[in-house]
Amino acid sequence: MNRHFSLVFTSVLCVYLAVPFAIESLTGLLTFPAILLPVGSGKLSVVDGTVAFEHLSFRGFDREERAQELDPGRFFAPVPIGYSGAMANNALGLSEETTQSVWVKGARFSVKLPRHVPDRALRDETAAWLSDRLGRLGLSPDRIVIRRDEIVVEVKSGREISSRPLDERTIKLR
Amino acid sequence: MKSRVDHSTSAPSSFAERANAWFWQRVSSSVEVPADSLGLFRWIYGVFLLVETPYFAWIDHVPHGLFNPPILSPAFLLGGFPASPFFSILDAIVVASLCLVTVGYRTRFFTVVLIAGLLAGFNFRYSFGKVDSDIIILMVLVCMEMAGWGNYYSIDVLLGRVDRVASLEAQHQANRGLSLFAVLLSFGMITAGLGKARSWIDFNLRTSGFLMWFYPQYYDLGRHLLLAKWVPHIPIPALELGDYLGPMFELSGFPALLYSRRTWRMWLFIACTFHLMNALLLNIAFNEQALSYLLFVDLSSVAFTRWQRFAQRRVIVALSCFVFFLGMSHIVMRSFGYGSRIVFVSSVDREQPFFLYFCIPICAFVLARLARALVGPHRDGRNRREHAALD
Repeated sequence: MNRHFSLVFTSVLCVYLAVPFAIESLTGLLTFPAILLPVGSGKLSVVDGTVAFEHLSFRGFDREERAQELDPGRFFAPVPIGYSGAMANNALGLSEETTQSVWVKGARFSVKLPRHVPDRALRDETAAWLSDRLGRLGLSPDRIVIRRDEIVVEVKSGREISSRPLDERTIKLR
Repeated sequence: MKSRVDHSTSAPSSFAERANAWFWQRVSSSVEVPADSLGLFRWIYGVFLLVETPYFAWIDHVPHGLFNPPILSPAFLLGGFPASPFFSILDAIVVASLCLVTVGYRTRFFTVVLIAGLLAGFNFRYSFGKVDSDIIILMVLVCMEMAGWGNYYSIDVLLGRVDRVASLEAQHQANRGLSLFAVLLSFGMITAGLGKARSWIDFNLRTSGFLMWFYPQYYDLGRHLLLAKWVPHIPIPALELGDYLGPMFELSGFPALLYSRRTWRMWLFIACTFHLMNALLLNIAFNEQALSYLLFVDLSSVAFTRWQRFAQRRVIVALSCFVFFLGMSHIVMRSFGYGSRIVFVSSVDREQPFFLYFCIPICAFVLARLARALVGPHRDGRNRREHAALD
């Protein structure tokens, strides 16, 4: 006896699987819920036995104005550490950008899409939460820095050879 | 309304219908296991999910200004996180329904509740700007709901709530769920592998995709555990080989599935080895996914050889007590503002190593079962029915 899925079911399934995948492949936008497993197709260049990559860090300042690197896992807890990169891209919830640009692969244009912007009260609440956490660590509650460095590592040994700042963004909390 | 399942006994007429029938028949013949094996899988996967339980209550304790949902998700339409204590309540519902699904009490209903709860919870959790790969849990639940995983070794059976379906009907139901899961899994692996294949297979020793996964996470996320410190000692040609083998394996799920039962199981074996290597070298654990491969091996042999000594009723009652103890531990800790995904671990920032430590025994167990299925005697649902008919 034939007990397989019907052609209609298979067709609907194909559309459900293919459309989010096509959107992700063309624009990088993720859909939920969709059957998409992590891609991570980037690669590092090996030059003279070394590789260079970007390192994201968060910094606060002590009383002597010396920068102190924060442990993102502990600092943002209970937010899982894996979300720290995405939160940094969103200026830790304090970004006021109302749109996001999305490049469409193969086309020579980008599309501007709306993004959620929290209202003033929610942004203040977020800033106060971050200030409180800095204060508990004995750091200045006024600001936090999101910094990106380029780190160069020797491939054979894993030894760090050099680093240089690529980008530093200070976020005022008060 | 047209049925999801084609019950017709007549031969498919058009080319599309013939191709559809051929496709699902090939898939079904590769994935078939005895239907009662799914009842045992429900216990194993349920207990695993109670040790490594989805956790949402923490969202009640962080500022809602961090809400940054994916634009193509239902959460984007809502415009913000629901007010506290929504996520604590959601957590309690998810944990309670997970316990009830595991023990097999009103399994169909509570599997639907669990799916709905996880859909809501995951969507809000991804509203911190990053979508994780937990979709595999939802895939398992949806497909097992379809497969009737509560029909065996459940409280529903003890209470006589499960209609005594004919073994042939139960087997068809199981095959449909397993077939769908195999297709979703193979497709999911393609979504992961296609981008890598385009970028990584470049025949250039001066680039490395593997190191892109390794170094930024080693520095940003502190992934220094297990064998991570040995990665720099791996020669570049070996890393390059890994760059080719990874995406090639990810893209080969469908051919393996459609070719034969043996190639599908070999592919699953390679997949599980791949997850183990990821955990050891990159400190990335795909525990939910690795354990889901147990769906494709006959677990009922475990019950026949080991459980038969005990009365099934006693075993189910004893295991149910253990399951509710795990569930209560989560609910109590989370209601006091503590907890994490890992049972008895009180804080999210301490949970990461446990995923890795669990990954090793999980992968070892799945690999052992798959190896046994590959080299051992062939015993699928059809064989079982034939034996039953002979008896």
